[in-house]
Amino acid sequence: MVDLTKNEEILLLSIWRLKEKAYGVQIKNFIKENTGKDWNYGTLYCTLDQLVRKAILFKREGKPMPERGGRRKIFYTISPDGIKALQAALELQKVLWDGITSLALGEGMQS
Amino acid sequence: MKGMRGKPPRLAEWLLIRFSSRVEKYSLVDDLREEYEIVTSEHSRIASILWYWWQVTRVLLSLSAHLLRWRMVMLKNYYTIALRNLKKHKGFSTINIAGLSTGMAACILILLWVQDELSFDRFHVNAHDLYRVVLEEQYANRVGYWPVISIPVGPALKANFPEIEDAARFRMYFALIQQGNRRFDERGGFVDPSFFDLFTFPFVKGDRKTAFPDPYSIVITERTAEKYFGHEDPLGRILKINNETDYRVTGVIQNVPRNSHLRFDFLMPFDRYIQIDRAPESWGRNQIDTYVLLQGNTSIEEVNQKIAGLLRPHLTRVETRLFLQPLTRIHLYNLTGGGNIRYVYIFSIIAAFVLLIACINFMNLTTARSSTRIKEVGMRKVTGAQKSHLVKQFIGESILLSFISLFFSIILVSVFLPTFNSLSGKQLTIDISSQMHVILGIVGLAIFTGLISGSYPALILSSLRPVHILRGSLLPGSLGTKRSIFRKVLVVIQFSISIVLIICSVVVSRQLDFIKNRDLGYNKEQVVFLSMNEAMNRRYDSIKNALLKDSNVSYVTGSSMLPTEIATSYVGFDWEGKEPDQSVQMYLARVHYEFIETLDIKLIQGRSFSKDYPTDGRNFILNESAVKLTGLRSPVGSRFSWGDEEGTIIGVVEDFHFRSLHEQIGPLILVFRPERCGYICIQIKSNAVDLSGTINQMETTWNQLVPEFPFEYHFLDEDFDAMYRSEQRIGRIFRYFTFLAVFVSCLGLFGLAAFIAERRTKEIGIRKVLGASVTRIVKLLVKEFVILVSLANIFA
Repeated sequence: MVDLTKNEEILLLSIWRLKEKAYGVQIKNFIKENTGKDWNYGTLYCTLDQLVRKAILFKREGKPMPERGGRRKIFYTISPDGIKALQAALELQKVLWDGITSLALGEGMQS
Repeated sequence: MKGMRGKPPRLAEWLLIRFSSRVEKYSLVDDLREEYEIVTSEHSRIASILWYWWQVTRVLLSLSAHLLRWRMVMLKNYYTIALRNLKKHKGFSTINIAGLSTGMAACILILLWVQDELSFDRFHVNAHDLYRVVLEEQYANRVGYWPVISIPVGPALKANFPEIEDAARFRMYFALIQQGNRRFDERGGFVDPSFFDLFTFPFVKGDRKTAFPDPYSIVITERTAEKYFGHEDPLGRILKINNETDYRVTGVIQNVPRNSHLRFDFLMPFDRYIQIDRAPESWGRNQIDTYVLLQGNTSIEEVNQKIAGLLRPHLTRVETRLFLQPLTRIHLYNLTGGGNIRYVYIFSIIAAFVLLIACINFMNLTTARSSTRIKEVGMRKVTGAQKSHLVKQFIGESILLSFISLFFSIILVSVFLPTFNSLSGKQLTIDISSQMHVILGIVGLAIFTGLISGSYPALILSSLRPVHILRGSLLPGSLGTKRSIFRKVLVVIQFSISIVLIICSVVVSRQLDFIKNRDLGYNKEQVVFLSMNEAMNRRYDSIKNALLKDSNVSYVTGSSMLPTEIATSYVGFDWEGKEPDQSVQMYLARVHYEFIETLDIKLIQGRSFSKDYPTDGRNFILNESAVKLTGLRSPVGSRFSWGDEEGTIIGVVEDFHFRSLHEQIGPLILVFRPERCGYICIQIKSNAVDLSGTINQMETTWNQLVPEFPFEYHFLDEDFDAMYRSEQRIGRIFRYFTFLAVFVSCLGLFGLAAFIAERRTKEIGIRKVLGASVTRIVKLLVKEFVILVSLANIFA
């Protein structure tokens, strides 16, 4: 089982939400809207490439686009391995956060 | 218009495509373009271009950071493997590093030396526009160069040629300086005030512009200031020069750097020199160092052409030419050709050789051992390493090793620097802050060494086929005889170089011995000399008589120049049968009675100067070369004249080496001028038992007669040795580095031999079992190397 970093988790979840529309610009904007972080394409594509290499993501080429000089857009979908990895991440979260209803860090500091 | 707006800046896009190699670059570029279109529709063109550039920068930054992280992972692996290999083969690593670091240390030392030689006179701010005025005189028999010229030339140059911005004169002067009970002989000079504008000798106290308010001012170096005044303020204090004149200290300058050809500890105004000179208006008395500052971007050839004839109206007896010599060339190039630059070249070559030998060692040992790493190469190739990866790995490894050696070599250098300094007579230091280029040079050296010595193993190993390696068909034995032949060739080269160096150093030391033991034509042993000023000269006769009372003293004489170096030469000689327009230059020394006897010079014909002939003040003694030049059949008794002084030749002496042994013996004239003797020479009998007692006796006599001057004596043979000290030094340095080269090559051969012996352990075992004796095995192992070394001998 592959452990996911926080960035990878964010990326995977974004792709999951975007479904068929998941390609570069969309993913970037989705992340920006939802997390407020403005990723650059360097980071984005490095992470995407890595996940593709680990077979967590699949690449799929779309139709040739005239406005892209006849090149195809590349869409990303999550592989079964990716789903498993996400589930594991969710489990981990649940275990770790279980029983903590509200976060009052100040209490811990006092003792 | 819309189409125009849609295009992002081309350069930025090109950069992006060029440098984002590892990801889906077109997808990335297209994505950015898509976003760019949105941005352009909302913002101004300039803003969107800026936005695009900002995006590209961010992408490239994050991509490079990402790449670097992965490279580091691989690098760490290479590093670990390299260190493991070093640790696993301690003996091999030790030999390798020892050889390389010795080679590098030698190289660094020599580079420091070379750098110091090349740095001479470059510390002046104006260094590149400063020149020394040189006078060339063409005689019938030779061409003479004078780095010193007459007093009026400097001002004349400045006044007549607009290209010459400024000129300064320097007259070397040795003087006895006294302050309270401290008195020492010092070396200094008289200079024009412009001297401080031309040269960079910063003032610590006092001011450059008002250095010489009157002729009785003196500027001293910090060293002198401390010597005479300790920690007191020297400004305004009085120094007594030659027991005669008081000078007031008006400034203190920093000590003269060691890499300056001008050396002095005090400076006095040139105006004062003009007061004491015998004929300051004369154009014919060459005695002043003259320097000029040219305006920037002036062509030196043009100036040389213009000034060439400046002296012709004044000096009609001889064909002259003035020219300028760049300041930075003075130390390295002699006017007659050659000079220290030869040593710079020779030593650079030696440094290169020593380093080359060390590199060859490294290559040999690494390739020899490469068989043990073949499996690793195979594994790497199978798991996807490309040839370039392996080349990088091996070169990187050797660079790592060379940096380790560099570290050790720097330790070595700092340990041996004092020894090297005393050997070379320099004060070299490794000073990080001021010698950035040296440091860079050394680091460059390490990288270079690593590259060179790692290149061969890297290329060979990386080109092996993994299939062969892993199937085992590339067993050490079958690794190809080609490679071992290459190794043998390298060993032969290495030893050839070492042997050439050995031969050179033998030749050099032979030559030095030759100089030392050469029959000079006069006796330099057991001769003591002192320099004499005018005050002493006036009391010469009483000094001489008092000294001769000691039964151990055989002769006393005086002369204007020491017989080791007679530097003064003149024109204007005339003799019977001379061709009228022939202008001949001859060396001339003014001597006292018994000069020839004191120095044991062989008199071939005639007699020496003597009290019995009162007219000897007009007579001449010639050496053989001078007789040959004049072509006189029977020189003794014939008429001879120098300028308006006419007399006869009374004697001929055998040629003796009165100048450097590198020069041919020139024509020499001896004249009798007791009043112009600057030295007093005393010969002690060779059978004198108690030399120091005799000297003490002399000192007592001296102090009774001339108490105001210290008894500072020297031996003539020491003075002679001092003339060749730099050569002796060079010879010694040469020997040591030759030894190092040989040591390094032997180390390499030892390593190679040890490795081969280790590899053949099994073979040796079997041979022993089968009944081979120890001697036969030794023979077997030694044979190969003996062949190699003797081959190298033949080549050399």
